[in-house]
Amino acid sequence: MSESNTHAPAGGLRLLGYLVLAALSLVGLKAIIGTLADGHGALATTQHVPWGLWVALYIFFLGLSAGSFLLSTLIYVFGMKSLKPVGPLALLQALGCLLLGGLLIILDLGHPARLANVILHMNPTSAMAWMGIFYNLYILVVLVELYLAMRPRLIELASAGGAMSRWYCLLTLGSSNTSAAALARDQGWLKALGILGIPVAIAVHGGVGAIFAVTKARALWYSGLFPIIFLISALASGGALLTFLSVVTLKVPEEQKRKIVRLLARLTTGILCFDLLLLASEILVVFYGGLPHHADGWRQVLFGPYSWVFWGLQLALGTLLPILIVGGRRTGQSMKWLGFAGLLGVLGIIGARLNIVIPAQITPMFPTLPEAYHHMRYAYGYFPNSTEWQVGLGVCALGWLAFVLVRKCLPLDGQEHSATASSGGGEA
Amino acid sequence: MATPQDTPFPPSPPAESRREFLAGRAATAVAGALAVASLGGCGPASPPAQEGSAARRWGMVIDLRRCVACKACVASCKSENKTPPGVAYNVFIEEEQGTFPYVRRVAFTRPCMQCAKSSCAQVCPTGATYHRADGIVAVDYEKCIGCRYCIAACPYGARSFDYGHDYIEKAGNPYNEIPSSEYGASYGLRHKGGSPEGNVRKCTFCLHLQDEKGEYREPPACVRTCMGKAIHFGDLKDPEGVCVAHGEKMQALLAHRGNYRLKEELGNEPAVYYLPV
Amino acid sequence: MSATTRRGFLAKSVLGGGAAFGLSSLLGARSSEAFAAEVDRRYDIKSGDWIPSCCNMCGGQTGILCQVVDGRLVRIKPNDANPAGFSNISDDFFANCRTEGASMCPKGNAGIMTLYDPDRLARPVRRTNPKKGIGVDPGWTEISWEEAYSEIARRMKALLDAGTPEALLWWSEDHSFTHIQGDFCQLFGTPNYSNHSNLCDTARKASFKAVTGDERPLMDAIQSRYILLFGWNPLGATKWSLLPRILTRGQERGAKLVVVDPYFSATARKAQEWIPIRPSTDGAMALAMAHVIIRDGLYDKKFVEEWTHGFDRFSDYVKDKTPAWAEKISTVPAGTIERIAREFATTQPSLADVWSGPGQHSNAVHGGAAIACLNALTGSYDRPGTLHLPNKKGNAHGHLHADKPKAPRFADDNKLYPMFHGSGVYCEIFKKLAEGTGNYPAKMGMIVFQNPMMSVPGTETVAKALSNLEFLVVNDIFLSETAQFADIVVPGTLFLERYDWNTQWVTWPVLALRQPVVKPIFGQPAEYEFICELGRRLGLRDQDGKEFFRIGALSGRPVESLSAWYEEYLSSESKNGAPKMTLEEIKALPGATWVDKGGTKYEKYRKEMSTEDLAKATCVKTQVGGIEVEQLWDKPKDQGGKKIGTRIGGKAVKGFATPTGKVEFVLTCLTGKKDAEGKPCADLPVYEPRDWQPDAQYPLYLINWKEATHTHSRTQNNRWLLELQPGNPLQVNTKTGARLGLRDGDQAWVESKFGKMKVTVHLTEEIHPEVVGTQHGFGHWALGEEAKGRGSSDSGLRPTRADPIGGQAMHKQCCVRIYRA
Repeated sequence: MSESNTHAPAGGLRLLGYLVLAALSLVGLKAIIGTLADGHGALATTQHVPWGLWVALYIFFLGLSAGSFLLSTLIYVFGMKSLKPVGPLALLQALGCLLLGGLLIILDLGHPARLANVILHMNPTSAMAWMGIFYNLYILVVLVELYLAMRPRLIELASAGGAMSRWYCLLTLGSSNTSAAALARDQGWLKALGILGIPVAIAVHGGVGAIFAVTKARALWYSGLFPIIFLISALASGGALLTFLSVVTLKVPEEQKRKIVRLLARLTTGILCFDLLLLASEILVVFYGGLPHHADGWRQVLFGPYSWVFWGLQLALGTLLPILIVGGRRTGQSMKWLGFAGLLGVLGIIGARLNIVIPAQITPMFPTLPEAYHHMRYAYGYFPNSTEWQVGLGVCALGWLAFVLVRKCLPLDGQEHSATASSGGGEA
Repeated sequence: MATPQDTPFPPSPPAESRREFLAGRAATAVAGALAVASLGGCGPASPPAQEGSAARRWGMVIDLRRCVACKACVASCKSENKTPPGVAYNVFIEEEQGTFPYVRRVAFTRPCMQCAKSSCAQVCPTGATYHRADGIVAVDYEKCIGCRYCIAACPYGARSFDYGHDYIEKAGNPYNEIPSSEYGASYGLRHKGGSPEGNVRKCTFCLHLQDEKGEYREPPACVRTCMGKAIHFGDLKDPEGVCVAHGEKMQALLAHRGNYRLKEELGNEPAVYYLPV
Repeated sequence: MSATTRRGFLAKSVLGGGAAFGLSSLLGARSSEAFAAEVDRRYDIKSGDWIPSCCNMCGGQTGILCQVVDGRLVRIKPNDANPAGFSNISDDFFANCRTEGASMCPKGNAGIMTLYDPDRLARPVRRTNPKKGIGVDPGWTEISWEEAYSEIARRMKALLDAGTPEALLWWSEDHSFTHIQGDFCQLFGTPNYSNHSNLCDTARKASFKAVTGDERPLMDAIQSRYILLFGWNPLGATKWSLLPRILTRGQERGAKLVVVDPYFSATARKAQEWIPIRPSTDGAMALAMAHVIIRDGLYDKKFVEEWTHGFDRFSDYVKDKTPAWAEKISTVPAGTIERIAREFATTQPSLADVWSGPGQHSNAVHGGAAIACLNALTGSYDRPGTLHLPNKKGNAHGHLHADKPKAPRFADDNKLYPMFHGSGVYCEIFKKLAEGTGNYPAKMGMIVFQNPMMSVPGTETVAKALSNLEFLVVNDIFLSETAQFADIVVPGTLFLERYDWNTQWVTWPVLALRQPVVKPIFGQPAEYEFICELGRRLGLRDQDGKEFFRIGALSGRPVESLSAWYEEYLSSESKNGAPKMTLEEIKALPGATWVDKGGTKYEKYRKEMSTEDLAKATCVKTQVGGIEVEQLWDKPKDQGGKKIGTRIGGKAVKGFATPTGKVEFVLTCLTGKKDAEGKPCADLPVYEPRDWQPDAQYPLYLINWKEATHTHSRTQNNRWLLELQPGNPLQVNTKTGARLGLRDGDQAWVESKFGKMKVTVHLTEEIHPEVVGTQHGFGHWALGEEAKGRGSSDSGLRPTRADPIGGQAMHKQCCVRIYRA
């Protein structure tokens, strides 16, 4: 792989990649249909660990979404011009991850058809209900922002002729005004929506954090730091993914791209460090006090059978290695390495999400509750079964494929850079 | 026993076919992803059958001196509520303590605590879990979306998700034709995809055994069967309230022996008290 | 799914059945709401038929009420009219049951799950594979009932024709339809009817019979102040459901409960004091207690003087049985024995009881007798708060006009065992059947509601024995391990589908009815109908030439319907028994239970005989244990007479049912007798070490026990009970485990010199370090899909051998070693 503009694998490898993604997607779709048809009997979750891989992936995707959205506000609200080319990408990432997460959480419901009850019969004391409200609001904000961010480029492309012009024309929603005033208005709206979006994104993801944080039954979750850790790690994950995607998909001049990627990577690293600080604070306080039910959950995380998820995935691969790469004199300059660091950061966050969701539930409500009743659904311990992996990986693969497809159909490279009509090549 | 064909009844509407059901579920799922509030098909949630009497607060006083750890309470609950495999409204918790030969067993039955400040109702996004006037925490199966937040939030592990398992798979087995009385006939029989499958379920102090006035016509199943007569059940609001099963004054039981509630420090204010060994 | 569809579904499945039961009024209201409302109404707890009956998930026969709607069993709840679920003392029952209500155990609550168990055998099957053995597929093929009947009857007829009816061996459960099976055997001409008791507690029966003349005293825990239990686990081996209440209520009233047991049993967990003991040494501890009580003069001198026999010899014998002596044997500290002895003697009323813990070893009868003698020292018999000698009057087994079969019993068990119990000695029978050393060739077997492959020690021997039968019929609700050896298996009924009389385990006469609450779910005949049909096909007649299984027992007229004939049979038993009421009359009683208003009577032994009885009585002067005793019989012994009293201190009193009419420290019934292995029997309650002790190779004792969640080997397919208790890990003391390098959850082999089993190890502080043990009943390889492969069975680790005095199977006599698998 050469340090080229595209950083994309060669044709054959790429085809293989698509085939793998397609296969994973098909397997995932089949599992999804199976789950919808047969209910939750196929899951490995239990009465003690009611939330499993899908919920972990849900908060993973939501974190990616909130993170990338908040990063986009650097551009649209705080006017960080240098990042402008990745604006639409960040917004698309926010939208896509939101939808993927939504799909998983809906699948996780015992009665997905009743989803609207969260709105229709909203219970104001439920953090989850509020998350539902903000989730919807958030989707709207992201959709409108994305439209506004792409609008000038869409109009340009719609009039450029070619096979796709009809499509772009449709996407302009009939708007054709590219006057300076209109563009300025766009920017104004983007800023306004961005400002509105900040609390909404915080509410969505902090709200997800709050879902966990308010459950006093699970001591590991029950901490005021929790929603904050959620947000910060969301930012980190969003940044990491954006870094990675920028490296592999952004089509701007080499020098500009290098600048953008390095900026993103450093930003992400800073956030990762802050995340680490929060985590350290939480862990130290918990173990210093050593309240048994408090410490037990963390003991699971740090020393339990799946402690490799924390030490290996979350800490070593997902945090320390990216920090080293970004901070490294040579690696910190290399697109390839920075992209890799971004990917690592994203993978590490999956570990972090699993560690948030699962270990707190593994800690029994009463020390001997695990022996109190004998049925597979009352067993303690949890490891996702094949159905859950199939759906989880399938959704990830679907997301990736959808991204590839959408990227072909949407002008994501920032309206300022007027590249020749979408070449379509060079994507991941 | 007559087969359905023999009945003088008109043919009942066919149960939704799996395909239709699936299509419906998938469609609503997709629609749901966009969270369009105009979802049809759910219909208004059915009003709960009874709300109980606000003059009462049903509760338990469990005398651990009398409890012999036989677990009849768990089995009788199965039988009364016809809960499926993997759903247990009450479980029996035991713990070995001490060193040979000075050993002891901590042992207690754990029904739902019917907390006055329940975590489950607090976190339930749809209000499907709610407090009845008489203190019993019930679930509206039609509202419940099966998110299992309440399970995560309950400090007593007293809630179970119905994963759709059945004890007997054999078609036509009479057991599968015995409806659970739990929330009335609407949820009495099990069938793929329909409530209570996919719902979170819990002990209701056998509220279906109440009459129109909210009085118990029969004690809850665990109380009724208890071998040591350790579970006293009655109105905790009434200073003179007596156990509906064996007539002891509830407040006297609480006063004379000292009592405690599980995880009192969490502030959930359970309606289930334990008298120490 | 919409509400309409769901209700439609309901309508189809629920009212489908209901419609046939006269629901046509609903025809006008077809809406789904009406359906739902109707279902709610029908299945409400106050609706349907509530039929009183008795449980039989175990042998406890607790009273139950069964709600039946549309022919389906919906609920089972306790029957308040039956004392078996409440108290064994009448005052307590009469005064409190109405307010407190009766109880039921988890097994009874799970009855519905066994009734509708999908693994139940529905139709008769015949084996196609002539080879028999463990793991051999019998190649079942379904046959019609007619085929089954005619084949079985043909085989039986062949025995009759050959003049060898005794070649039929018969085994049955001991609480269900035993009388009709006994009658069948007698009419058929085989002396080889045996039943379950000797797998359970015939050693206890022998111990108490030897000391008090009564083989089944019952503890009055509720009025007691001191309850000392040796190897009895009433809260785990919970049979009649009154046990937990009377024990905890006794404690509430101030009684101290002390449990002597190698395992911290369910009962020990409730006790104020648990005394771990080496298995089979309880007798030594009891003797040391007697030593202390006599040494310190703490015994009830008046009672001992007036109402016991052989005190001097006994006190001589225990003179050197010091607590220090017993400590060496039992590991119970001498100080503890001293203290418990003093507490027991000085806290009155007290009682000492013993059951199967010490009761299933080679020294069981004498060990039990030593414990029985503790009660003799404190006068703890038949007084409030002691061991009560119950009045067991109930149904009367009608006198059969037929000669006893002339042939001796196949295994001579009745002659070999000096305290032979009427249930036979399974171990002796199976051993001789396997070895071919019976009195004559046994050709055919009938096993009803029994699973000896799991329940008799020495699985290999039992397998060989069963294979040696030319033709074996098994009647069971499951294709059990034993059924795998059958040539024909016919489906039996569950207790919810059939009749029986139950004399309850209480201290005064109570007779309760078990009745079919649902029709047999496969339309199969109940066991008694099966037997009756066979009897008819064989044309069995009594001495009067009456076709027994066709002529009604009360009417004397032919009765065509099998069930009607049996109802009359039952009716005659209650009519001629204590209630003097017909079946229909008892059915109409509250809870279908007849309760004698007279209630519990105490110190019945003091009761002087009425002048009329005395006038009619035959006086027999006889030498017993070196003294002359004047016994009073209702008619001479050779005319089937019964001892009804004894002249004691000049008065003709009821006395105890022993030869001397007194409680016997010297076991006169054993004087001069030899045991089954030819050894002379001691006639004092001596302590002798059991005849299989740990050695260097097999250093650990292996015991077993019951827990409240399962019965024997028969409930391990019940899905509800399996959720309560899914297996039987081997309990190993933590220190022992550490010494052997075992960790909690390890798979290990437990090996004796006779066989081995694979177990899951549970390390615990709750068991004596020299002892390992499991709950009995798991380790099925047949029975049902759920039962198969769960837990371990220890039956193969012991020889097929009974205690040589009482004929009790020695389930707890075993030494083993353990190693990681």
